[in-house]
Amino acid sequence: MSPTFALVDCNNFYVSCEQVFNPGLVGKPVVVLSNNDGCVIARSNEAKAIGIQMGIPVFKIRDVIKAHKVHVYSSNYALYGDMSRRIIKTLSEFTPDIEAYSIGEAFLDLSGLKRCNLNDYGHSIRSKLRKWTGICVSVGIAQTKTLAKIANRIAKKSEKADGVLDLTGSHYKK
Amino acid sequence: MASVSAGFPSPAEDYIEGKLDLNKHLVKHPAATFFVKVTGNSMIDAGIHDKDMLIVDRSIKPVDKKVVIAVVNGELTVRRIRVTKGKILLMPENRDYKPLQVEEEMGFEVWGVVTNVIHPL
Repeated sequence: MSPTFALVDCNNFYVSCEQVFNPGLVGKPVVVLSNNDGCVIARSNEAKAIGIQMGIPVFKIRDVIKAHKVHVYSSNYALYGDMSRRIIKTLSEFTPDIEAYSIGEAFLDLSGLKRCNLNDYGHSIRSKLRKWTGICVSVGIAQTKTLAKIANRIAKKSEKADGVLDLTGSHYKK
Repeated sequence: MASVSAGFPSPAEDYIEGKLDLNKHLVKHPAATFFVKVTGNSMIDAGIHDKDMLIVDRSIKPVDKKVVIAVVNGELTVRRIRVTKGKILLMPENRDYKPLQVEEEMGFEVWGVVTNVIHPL
């Protein structure tokens, strides 16, 4: 039996956490800063679209923040940690084999689920997390963790994938 | 010198149970349950007062007559939801407030279903 892994990764995790409790931020450029408000460590899609780079020191983009009315937040790790715990707990309803890979990412071992449609399974993980926690995730499914990570990256970027990509399908092999 | 008891042991000792845990008692889905604080009196006739704490379960389906936390135009609000003839109404429970009919452009979403009110007397 060949192994199957899913990587579930929260989209713009810290920003998404802020948006759950402040829905007025949805659709706006939002950034979260590192400890002591040094650098940008999370960006909403709208903040990415106006060219704010990951990791840039905030003093370098003061004019961009003003011009585009970017909402700037200090990091709130107590909140992000709590949301991360909720996500892992919700994922545990899908499989007991979970490896929390980072605060906003987890690998699921789906090796035992050969007979179900993994793409549908990915979508049900995605919609349950959205409903229960308010957080949007992308799901990448493949035969190794590395490939699952790549599948996740594509799932996040591709409109066609709609947040889920399963690379175990026969047309991806060989 | 320490003393030891040579008396009769408590007959209840084998029957001691854990204390009632309100988290377990009131929260059915911990991963999906949040606590929110109320501002204002629009739901006072439903027993929801200013500064009360609400227990909100996001995993419950928001059907007709449930008290919900709704997102309307980017703001969180607590109302009773009424679904009639394909229309969604958000009903306050205070005569000084008006019902709100949900229109498509409002960016309406149900955030969660209120299961309990914690109200200090």
